[in-house]
Amino acid sequence: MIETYTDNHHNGRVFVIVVNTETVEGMRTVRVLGLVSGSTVRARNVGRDFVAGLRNILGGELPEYTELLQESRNEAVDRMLEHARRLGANAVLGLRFATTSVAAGASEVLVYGTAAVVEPAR
Amino acid sequence: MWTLVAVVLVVMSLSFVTAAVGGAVEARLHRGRLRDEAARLGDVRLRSDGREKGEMLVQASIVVAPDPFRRGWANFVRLFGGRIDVWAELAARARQDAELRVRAHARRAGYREVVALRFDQTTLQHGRGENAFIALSVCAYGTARDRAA
Repeated sequence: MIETYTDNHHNGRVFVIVVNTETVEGMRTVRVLGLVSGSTVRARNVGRDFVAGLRNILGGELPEYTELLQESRNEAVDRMLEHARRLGANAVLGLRFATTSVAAGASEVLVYGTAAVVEPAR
Repeated sequence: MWTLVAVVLVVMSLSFVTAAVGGAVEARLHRGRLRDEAARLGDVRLRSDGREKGEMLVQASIVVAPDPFRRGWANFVRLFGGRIDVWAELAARARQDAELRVRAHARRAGYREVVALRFDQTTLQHGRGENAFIALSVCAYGTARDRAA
């Protein structure tokens, strides 16, 4: 979950605010550092495929794939945050997710946004 | 010979009926869960305009697939073209579920509103050829704001 990124502050890493709006409440944008992105391609494994195949007999949610894609999104966000930190940003604005199937059984998750430096508005 | 054919037909019919009934029951239970969750999370508002200022990203996703009966029916309908309600209903339920999970995420974090709600959808193929099925992945995300006191 994205909310766990607030823990970064306690681990000695720069805390980066992530929002999908153009501004952050109570902050003003001092500098825009450019586009940052992170992506990952993950494939399903045989075990998950088997369980999901069994579940598919009745249809409905496939938690194995839900979890897999959630992990992919978190990993992509982590990579984007690393990119933002390297640029010296403390916020990523206007975040967007894009997901696509690159091959049978593999999906790419791309996350991108605008790295910026924000400070409390007076 | 005919006994074998009869047994195969009976087994196939039973599987078909089980999938159809099981799928319908699953869909009914899912709709019930969504109603309950919607009532429970009614105080967390969702907005898609994005004009408000935000604080924290919240997101949730779900992967769903139709049962073989509905999949077969959708493939049949596709021959003639037109509206495929099976997929439309499944996609709507998946979006509603993802939306409710976003609200739950926002509430856990102490927020009462999610602005700039967006959906990211894609299909996943499972298996190959005749046995392949398509699952739908829906990710809902937005910015939580208006932290509860």
